[in-house]
Amino acid sequence: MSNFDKLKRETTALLTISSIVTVLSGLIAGILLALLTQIETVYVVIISFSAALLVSVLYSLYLRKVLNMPYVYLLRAGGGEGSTPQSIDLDSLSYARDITGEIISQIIQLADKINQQNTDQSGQLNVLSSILNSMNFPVFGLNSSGNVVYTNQTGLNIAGKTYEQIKGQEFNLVLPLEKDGQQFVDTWRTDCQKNKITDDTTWQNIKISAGSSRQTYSYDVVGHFERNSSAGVESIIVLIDRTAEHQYDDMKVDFVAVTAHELRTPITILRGYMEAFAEELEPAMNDEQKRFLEKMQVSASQLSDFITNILNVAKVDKGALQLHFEKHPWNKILKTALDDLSLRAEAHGKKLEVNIEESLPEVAVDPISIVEVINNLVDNAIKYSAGSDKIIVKSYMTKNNMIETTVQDFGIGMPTNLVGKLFTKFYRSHRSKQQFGGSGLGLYLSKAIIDAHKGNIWAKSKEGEGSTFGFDLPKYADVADSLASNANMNNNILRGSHGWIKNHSMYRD
Amino acid sequence: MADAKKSILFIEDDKFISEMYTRKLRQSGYDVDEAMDGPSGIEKALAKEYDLILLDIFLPNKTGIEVLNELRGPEGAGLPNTKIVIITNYAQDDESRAALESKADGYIIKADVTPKKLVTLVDQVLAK
Repeated sequence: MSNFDKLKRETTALLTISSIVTVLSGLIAGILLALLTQIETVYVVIISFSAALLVSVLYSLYLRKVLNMPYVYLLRAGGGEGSTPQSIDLDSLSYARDITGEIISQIIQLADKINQQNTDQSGQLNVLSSILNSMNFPVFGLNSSGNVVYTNQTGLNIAGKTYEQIKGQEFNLVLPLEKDGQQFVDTWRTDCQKNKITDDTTWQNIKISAGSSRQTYSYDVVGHFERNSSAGVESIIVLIDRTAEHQYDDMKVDFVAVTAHELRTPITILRGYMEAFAEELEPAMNDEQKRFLEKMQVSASQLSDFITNILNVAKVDKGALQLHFEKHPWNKILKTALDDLSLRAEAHGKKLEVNIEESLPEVAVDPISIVEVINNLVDNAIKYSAGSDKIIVKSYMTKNNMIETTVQDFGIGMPTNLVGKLFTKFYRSHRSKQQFGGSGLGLYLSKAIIDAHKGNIWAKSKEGEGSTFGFDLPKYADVADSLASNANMNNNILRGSHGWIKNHSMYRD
Repeated sequence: MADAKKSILFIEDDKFISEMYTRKLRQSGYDVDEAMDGPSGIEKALAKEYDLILLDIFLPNKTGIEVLNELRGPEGAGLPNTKIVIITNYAQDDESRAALESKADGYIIKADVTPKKLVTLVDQVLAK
């Protein structure tokens, strides 16, 4: 059942219950009034009942207005009557998908009816055509071969062609739509033809160059599939212009990228010359000086990681965080990350206790971003474990056949009711703001990364006793099929936190 | 272990960064020449066959991407015996990734690569 249908059903139920309760209340009030006064019972009951009914009707009308029920009225087939569509709030994406699916279903039903009746329906077709042409979003109807059988005027504008030029052509040639290097409309249609009777889906932030100036626009693309539609339109593609909203995100990412570049340049020099000091002057340093240098290196590394976090958060907000999944043994990834983190922990007077189950299966991970998650969780544990020097990291198979990894600290903890907010961007509890620095971005980013890995991330905490953060990942074997067609699996490229190089040798750092 | 006969051209306009990396690469046995902008980088790259060109993106007069495209040519076949690795602090744009993967042999973020790590990566790129 679509969200739209659920909303209608729930509101109808609410109205009905409200009405019944109001009427009953009126009756009871009337009877009580009659008993307490000298007035004839029957008259009081009638008056009370009428008043309650009137209140109920007025209340129902008020509720409908408040809930802003977006009923869309289309031509009723055969009747020629219609109502002007009410304004539709397309800001909610799933709502837009449901409304669009609703419109499209009704259009298809109307077209079917016209076909079946086989009478002169030119009047109705003209009205239908006017409605579609007045829509300021492109609509394309495709047959079962993926060829265009219908488009409205806005569709012709975006394709930059005439109807004669596009009718019967492959949709991907008329308007190539790509996401992550894939022409997703074809993939979706093929999947629906194999597995679905009807389907509604949405793809966000799809870039299209259009117009004589080839300006780039950003659209949310809505697809509706209907098997066995006798109108010959098996799928419908609707494009909703989000250029204004996404342009802001694009500008934000560019601004962040340029800012990150400027911040990274002095960090590069600091880290480089600190390394030179460590290598060349260390023999002459005393223990205290060596510790100073170590702390400087750790801080520079943390600053660099923070800048990377900001860049990734900007990409997450834009829906542009691109991950490259590779098959890796989870033990190896985790141990390598924790080896580096042990140094960071020691610099802050903490000790990492590691307990990783032997023979954990391989996973499909983006090795750079999953290490960022591990870094974020351990960094938080270091920060919030004042009064305790122990941090325990475990990894094991769960009963659900997922690989779970946990990071436990024995520090200040937090009230249980705040735990749910932890993964919100910029969220930091009042106490942590008082005691510690931090941006509130690490957990937000970690959740985005784990979600993209088809895993789950969670936290539990007890004030004064510490916190445990955990995430799980599916086994590689369970996701291998879906990754096989993923354009991001390029095994000739060796990726690391430093970037990538082509696979010229078997050596991996 | 680095091969002492391998030659590198480092095209980088920031003198501090250039000195820092070049010093370590020379200590590791590489023969390193420097260029401070795009046009002089192209001139040197065409005058001598280097084993590796390390190329910054934000350069005066010509960007690193323009230098890369000019050296590799439209088909990507230019300087076939020379590896070219972008070394920058600019986060890679997803849209340029495919183009770079066809013409460049690597893309390295300087802030995440100390001089010692750069030597390791250079060894890796030049290894056969």
